[in-house]
Amino acid sequence: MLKKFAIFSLSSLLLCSCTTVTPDKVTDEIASYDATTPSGYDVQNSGFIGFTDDGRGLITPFGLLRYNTLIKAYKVRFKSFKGVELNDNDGVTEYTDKLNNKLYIIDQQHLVYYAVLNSWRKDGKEPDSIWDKTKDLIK
Amino acid sequence: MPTGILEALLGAISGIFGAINNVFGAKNTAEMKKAQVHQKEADYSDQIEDAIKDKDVKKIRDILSE
Repeated sequence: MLKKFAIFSLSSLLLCSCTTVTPDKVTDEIASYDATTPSGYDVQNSGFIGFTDDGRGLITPFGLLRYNTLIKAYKVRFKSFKGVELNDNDGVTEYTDKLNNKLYIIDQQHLVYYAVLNSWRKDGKEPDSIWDKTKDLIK
Repeated sequence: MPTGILEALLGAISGIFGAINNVFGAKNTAEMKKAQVHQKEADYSDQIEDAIKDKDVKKIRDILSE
């Protein structure tokens, strides 16, 4: 009787302690294709060409479009979560490469923000609702 | 088995499960969930920052994939 009780209690304890209460972040292992990539660069780049010598990121026109779209989708959530208000093209400057291709440089901080916003989209987080945006305007 | 012993045994079982719930049930409170989400976000931000610091192009491309 005592043995059964001990086994039952221990099993319950183990089950309770193994419970996952929040989902883990979604992670991908394959870059996506970007048709706006200028010739001479790898097309499977997720809109990210590479790093400049000073460590900033080099993104394609489509990469910039995605960044701005994500800002629009999660502006209020990001402000509430990180305490930072993002606007279109924040942290981004234009860049023309040796072959006269128009690309964009994004600073390290905003590259982190871009990646965080993209992770929210992958995690399936709902974009800001009209109600969220209205509340944010009133504040 | 006398009723008194049975009641005491059931009381003990109830107490143990109450204690288990107090310890592990706390995981499911709103604050704990919020803290856990924040911790996961912070860990993820650290991963991104490390990839940028190391200039790990592949990792950044994977992170930024659609």
